[in-house]
Amino acid sequence: MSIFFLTQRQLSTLRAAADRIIPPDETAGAAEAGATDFILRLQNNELSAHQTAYAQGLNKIDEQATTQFAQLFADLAPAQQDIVLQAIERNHAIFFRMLVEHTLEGFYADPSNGGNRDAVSWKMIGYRAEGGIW
Amino acid sequence: MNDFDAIVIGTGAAGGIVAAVLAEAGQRVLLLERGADNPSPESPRDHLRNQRLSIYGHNAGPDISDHPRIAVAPNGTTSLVHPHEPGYQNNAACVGGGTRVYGGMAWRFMPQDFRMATTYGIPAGSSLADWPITYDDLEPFYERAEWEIGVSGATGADKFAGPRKKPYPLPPVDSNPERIALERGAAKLGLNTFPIPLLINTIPYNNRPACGKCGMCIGFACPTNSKNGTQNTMVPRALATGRCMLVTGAMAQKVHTDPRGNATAVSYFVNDKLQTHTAGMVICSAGAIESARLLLNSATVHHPHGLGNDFDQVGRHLQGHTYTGAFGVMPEPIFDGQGPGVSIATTQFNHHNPSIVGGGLLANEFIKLPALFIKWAMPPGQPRWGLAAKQYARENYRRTIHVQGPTQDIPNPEARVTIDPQIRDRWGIPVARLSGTTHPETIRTANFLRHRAEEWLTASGAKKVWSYPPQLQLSAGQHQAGTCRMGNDPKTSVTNSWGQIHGCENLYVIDGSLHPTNGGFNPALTIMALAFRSASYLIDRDQ
Ligand SMILES: Cc1cc2nc3c(=O)[nH]c(=O)nc-3n(C[C@H](O)[C@H](O)[C@H](O)COP(=O)(O)OP(=O)(O)OC[C@H]3O[C@@H](n4cnc5c(N)ncnc54)[C@H](O)[C@@H]3O)c2cc1C
Repeated sequence: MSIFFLTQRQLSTLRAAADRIIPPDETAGAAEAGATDFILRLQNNELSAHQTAYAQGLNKIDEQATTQFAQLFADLAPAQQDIVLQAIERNHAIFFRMLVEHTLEGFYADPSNGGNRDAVSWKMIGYRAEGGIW
Repeated sequence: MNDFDAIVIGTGAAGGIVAAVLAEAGQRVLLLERGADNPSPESPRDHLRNQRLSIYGHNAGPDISDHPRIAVAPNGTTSLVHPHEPGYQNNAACVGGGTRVYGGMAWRFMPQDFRMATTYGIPAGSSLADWPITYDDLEPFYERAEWEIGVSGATGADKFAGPRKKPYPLPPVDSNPERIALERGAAKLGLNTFPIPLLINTIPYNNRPACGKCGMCIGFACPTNSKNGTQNTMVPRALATGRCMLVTGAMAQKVHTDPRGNATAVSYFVNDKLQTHTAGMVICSAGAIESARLLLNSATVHHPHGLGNDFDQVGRHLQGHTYTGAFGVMPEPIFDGQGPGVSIATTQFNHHNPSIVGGGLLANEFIKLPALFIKWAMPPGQPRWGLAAKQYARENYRRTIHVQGPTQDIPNPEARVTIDPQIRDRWGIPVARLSGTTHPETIRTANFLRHRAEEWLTASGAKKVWSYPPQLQLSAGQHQAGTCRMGNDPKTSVTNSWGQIHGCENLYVIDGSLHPTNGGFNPALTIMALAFRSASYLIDRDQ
């Protein structure tokens, strides 16, 4: 198993999609917080069985992007990306639900899981906003 | 001469107590625990791998690959499940058992909970039964559990509780903004509320410090050792006598019996090597599912259906709690981040509900970890992704209240543990097969309760309130109970009121398995009280 089960293109699609699931605003979005690193780490451990589903699902996102907007997903404007993801949510519901749940898990779990850098989501919602001993 | 006077299998809520009481009375005890002494030292505080949210693993056992079970879904589908997966009905496996990682709510059952059949009649298809003992019989042992393990609470504040002779040893947890809001709502509705009794040190006790308020009580071992379980009270007391030998990583395989069914020895695996030790008595305290499995797996030519199972009772009446409740979003933040967080309850709806069998307590929640908030506490229809979802979490994490509680399960004989004919664990021991569902009456009660939770939240000022209908499914899990019920009639129960298997001299079950019914309360304090009561009988009897 390697971290290279995804191509560079699939990786950038993953990062771009994660950033529409939890977009950056006045605080970090999913990609900056590391949620995609969390997902990759899972794929290499507990979720290795989902590697193919991920690779295929990310391809579907790019196919949808090319069909609708004649560009790769990562190169689209955020509003266009949302339209693409809505189509994916309708037509590839299982994959999309998995992608959303994994992104949320990474972003909101403890920083040592790798997807919540500097406890950015915790500070955002007010859980241990002042930091903690644990 | 026997190797030991007694062998106790399991170091959980019950086993730790039995071992200590016996050893302190002079007996030589072998205490077996399949789990480790210190569960998950490498990642004890993983929000995705713990005993509450175990998506990718957990932190207090049992080992994920060594201990499969078979789960039979309500539609009959059979699946092989691992300990962290849905359907497994896991509790924990480590020194302290469930008490290592529990939330520590320390409830006494109410007097009516020991008299369910008499109070309500027996619903068709259910095996609702009275206990062979009353609240008054257990009261002195609740007191021992509260003082010897350590419980904080507000004495006398629960006006529906049974009578007690001694106050709680520790003062109640502090109030918080959430509790103040819920008190306001309760006052409008005329509900009696009070601080939740907890097995948590609010001040130093038993040479251990007061709670550090980290807010990771439920599903985690306590980092300041301020949460009281058997691992930091009774097990150390047992070991301090010098007469108790604790073996961890010891998986009991079989209880050996003579033709009459009296216990002679226990075989267990340590490091995959089979050992056998003889003893004057054997106590199964492996938890409701594993104690039943062990008795069924200990069949002999004289007891071909398993020990204590001449009347096909072992493993039946499996029950736990159907959790129910509601969520509410408050206009202002009510979250102060201070653990344990859980701080207010009512027992107003445990009984006396018009045309409802039983009921259950309602309480606010422990500090909700963010990952759990995202998974459980989004209102229906709330988008799970996009900027709106992020903003929702940002605005409402500190405003959301979750009121919930354990519905008293109405037991039925078809909810049960059997032995799977094919699947074996790492050591070749046939695994538990779990089938059946709770009784439909449980669901009716749970629905009643969730509407009370909604009313409470609305009266407390929540601007948005929602809940989910409970499902008819098997209820066991962390509150598992009932599989070796005690009673007076050997045809309808497995043990007498001391946990002694009917017809046997020296074979006992002492753990959640004994509960004929499981109350509308978290069960650990009752399991502890029963363990003190039975263990006292064992030492009196031997003198
Ligand atoms: C996250 C969580 C939160 C909880 N919160 C609360 C709460 O707030 N209040 C409350 O009252 N209850 C709570 N509980 C439930 C409580 O922990 C259980 O009711 C209680 O621990 C059950 O006691 P027991 O003695 O029946 O079994 P356990 O405590 O489960 O102990 C059984 C022990 O036997 C061992 N064992 C099993 N099979 C074998 C074998 N073959 N060989 C050797 N050893 C074996 C197990 O590893 C285990 O350690 C919670 C549980 C969990 C997991």
